[in-house]
Amino acid sequence: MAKVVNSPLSRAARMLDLVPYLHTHQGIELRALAQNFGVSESEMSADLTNLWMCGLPGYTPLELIDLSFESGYVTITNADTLAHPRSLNKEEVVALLLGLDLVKSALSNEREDLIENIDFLSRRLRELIDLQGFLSAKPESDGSIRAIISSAINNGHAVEIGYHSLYADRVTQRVILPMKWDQDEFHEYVFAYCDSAKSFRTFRLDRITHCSRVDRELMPHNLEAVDKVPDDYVIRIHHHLRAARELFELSGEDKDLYPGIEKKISSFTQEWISRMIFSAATSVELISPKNARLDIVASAKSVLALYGL
Amino acid sequence: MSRKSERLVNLTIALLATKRYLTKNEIFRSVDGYEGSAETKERMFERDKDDLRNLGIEIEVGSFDPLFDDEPGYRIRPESYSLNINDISGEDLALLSLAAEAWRGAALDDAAQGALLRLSSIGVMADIDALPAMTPRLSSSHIGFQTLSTSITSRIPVTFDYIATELSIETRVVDPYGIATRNGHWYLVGFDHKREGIRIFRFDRIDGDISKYSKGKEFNIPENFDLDGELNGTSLLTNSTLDLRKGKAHILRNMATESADKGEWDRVKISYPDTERMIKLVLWHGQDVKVVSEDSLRSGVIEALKNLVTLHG
Repeated sequence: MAKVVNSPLSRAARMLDLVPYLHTHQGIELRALAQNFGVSESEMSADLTNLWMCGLPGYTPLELIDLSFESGYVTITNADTLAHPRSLNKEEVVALLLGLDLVKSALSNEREDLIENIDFLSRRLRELIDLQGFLSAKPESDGSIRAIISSAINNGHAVEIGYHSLYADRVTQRVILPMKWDQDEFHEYVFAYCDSAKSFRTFRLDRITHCSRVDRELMPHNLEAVDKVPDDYVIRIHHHLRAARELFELSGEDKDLYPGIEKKISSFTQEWISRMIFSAATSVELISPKNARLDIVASAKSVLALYGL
Repeated sequence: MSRKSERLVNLTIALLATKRYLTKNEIFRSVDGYEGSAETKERMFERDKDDLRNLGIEIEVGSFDPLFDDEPGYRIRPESYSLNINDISGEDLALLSLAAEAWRGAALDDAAQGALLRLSSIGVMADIDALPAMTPRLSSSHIGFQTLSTSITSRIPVTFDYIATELSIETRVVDPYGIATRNGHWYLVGFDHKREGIRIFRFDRIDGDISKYSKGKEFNIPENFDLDGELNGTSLLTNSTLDLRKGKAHILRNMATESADKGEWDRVKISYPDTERMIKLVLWHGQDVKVVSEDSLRSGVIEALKNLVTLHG
């Protein structure tokens, strides 16, 4: 449901949009109408009451909009002037075009019919606002995987997934019971009970390589005690400060960096830290613990050996 | 509050219903809700006009007789007020519903849902069954997104502070040619006035808000501009051959254009636009990747490895 905004202007916009909507949805239930407009039933009743006081100049019963909604079902008459929906503004068209491009990218090539339809719809929308600029949206993950997981969350059934663990660089097969969606600024995650790990885990959606429903009951059981705590590491950032900030996801007070600054970071695996230090390509140095620092040297030497060096 | 919203609706109805221009005095006399002194009514009307224009409603100003300097009048043309997109099918509406749904919780959520409500008012039922089960989703919470989407449609330059490589803040003025999202990140691609060339900006590296550039002039987008090409760097790709350890280096495997079984290793060919980034990606995979060719990638990786040994030794 969209967030409720109740400034006089947003309320006027909603009232203007209610009239054509009611024209084509005569007899709609008040509850459904409120839900479709993203407001409470009492808010919707207030909008309808206000709309009832509106009409053509003169404002006699012959000129006022006629509404019936006391029975819980809403009908409208005598509102022909506003019967056509308002035109879309530029921001709305941009939103729809980006959304359509995302849907197009998420469709398989076999659905040529839908892809052609999206192209045609997009051309018509672009013409509405005479848009020259370019808009492009590629999904972070397979849209069908998301749909299967959403269905699993809603219906409480388990799914089998292939999951690419980035730090271990390994794809594992797991049976999970998805519980809810989580998200940060960039990515979406599934919080789930993982039968393979016998524990609750968070899976990044774009790292799920495939997903299918499994027809067996799965209940969280034999939960492993979660007593593992991350290890602390100290790094020194020499240069490429922006890249280091993004790589180590430094935020809040940790965001302010200068060349040579040392930062304490935490990780459950040394492998993860090692990969980060390698990919930072000497702009970041691992200071401690000493054994992890020595492991960096040993690993780098073993990779050099692949090149005969 | 309700008086103001009622007045705005009544004003819209009056200006839409009239066949001729209505003067301010006619509006004050006939439209419900204009009360108080002449100055008060005047101020209310000016604010109301601005509000309706902010909703995207075009109020036309004209006079009764163009030969005389009459008092100006106002009206709204039904053809400019109404949604002008005909022949929407049930399948179209289902696609548009998916498109709007993709914005749930993201920057243009309200705009997308508002648009969908109006499209739903055309009187067509969305044919959801015509579509495969899918729920793609867009991400973005950047506060400047609204300004950017308006600027790209109006072809007005924008200005913002951008976080550079070493975290210095640089003010940029950009003609926005395109907006794109890849891998959860949003990008602005446009002509950078200071650098006099096309540049790519990641939204989350923009510090603070995006504003319209007040001194900017309307720009045109070059005919040969290619958004995907700019983002993928397809014009300057480098080809390399890598050995990948079996069962490892999944990211690089997904980039491979060719693959051959070499026992413990697979030999793959890949193309990429940015050697510096590819060096980092190869380094990430440690002992599971060896660069066979090309030379600058191979030497870049070897040099970085030697420096890692020196730095940590």
